[in-house]
Amino acid sequence: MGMAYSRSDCAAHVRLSRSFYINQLISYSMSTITVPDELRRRVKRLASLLDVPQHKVLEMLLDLFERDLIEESTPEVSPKVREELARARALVESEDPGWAERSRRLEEAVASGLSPALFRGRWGVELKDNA
Amino acid sequence: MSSRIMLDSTVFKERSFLAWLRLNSDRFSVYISPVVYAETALWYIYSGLGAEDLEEDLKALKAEVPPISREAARLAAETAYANRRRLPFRHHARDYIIGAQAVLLRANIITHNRGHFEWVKEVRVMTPWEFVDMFVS
Repeated sequence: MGMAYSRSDCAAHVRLSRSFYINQLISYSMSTITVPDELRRRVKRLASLLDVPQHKVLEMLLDLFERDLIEESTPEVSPKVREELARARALVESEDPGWAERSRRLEEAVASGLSPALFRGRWGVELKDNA
Repeated sequence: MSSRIMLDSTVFKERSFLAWLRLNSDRFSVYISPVVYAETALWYIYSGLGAEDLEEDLKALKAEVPPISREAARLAAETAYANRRRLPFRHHARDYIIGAQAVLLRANIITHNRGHFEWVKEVRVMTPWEFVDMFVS
C-alpha cells in the first residue's frame, strides 16, 4: 500500500530539498567561463524558463549532448565472444607489429577521452553554425 | 544472412573486433562509407597517427569505400523525411547517408548506435559483439 502525504508534508519536503540544494551549491567550487553575449542570453532565457540556475542549464545540456554523443550502453560481452576476440587479437598482433602499435596508440587516445564518437559529424548543425 | 557488412565509425575503437574481422576477412565483404572514412581518418590524425595508418588497417580488413551514389543520396533524403520527427536530418545526416549506402549494398550495419539506424528495415543493425556472437554460437 502506498503512503499518503499531506500538503504540509509536501511543503516540508520541498523546503528540505531546497535547503539541501542550496547546501550543495555552496559546497561546489564555482568558476567562470567567458561566453559570447548571445549564448549567455540563451542560457539565461532557458534558466528563467526552467527556473534553475544558469550552471544547471549548462549541466543539463551537456548531459543531453553526451547522451547523444556517447554510444548506447554496451551490453555485456559473453565470455565466449570475449575469448574469441582475445584470441584473434593476440594472433594478429603477434603477426603484425604495425597493427599492434596502431592499436596501442588508438587505445591510448580513447583512454585519454579522444573517442571516435567525438568526430562523428553533425553536419546540419555544423553547416548552420559555420554559415 | 548477407556476408556484407558496413562499419560505423565508433566500431574502429574496438581493435579486438577489427582483429577478428581481419582473421575472417575471407568470410565477409567489409564496406565503409566515405563519411565514416573521413570521421575515422580525422580521429586517427588527432590520435597521433595519420590517414595512411587508416589505409593500412582498411587494407588488412580488405575493406572497400564505395562512393555515395545519387541513389543513396535520394534514399537518404526520402528516409530522412519519413523519420523527420524522431531523427531530424539536421542531427542525423551522416546516419541517413551511411544507412542508405548499406541498404543499397545489402550490407548489415555494425555500430554501437543502433538507435540512430532504427529506420533501417532492409538489413540488420548489430553491435560488434552481436555480430561475433552469431558466428561463435
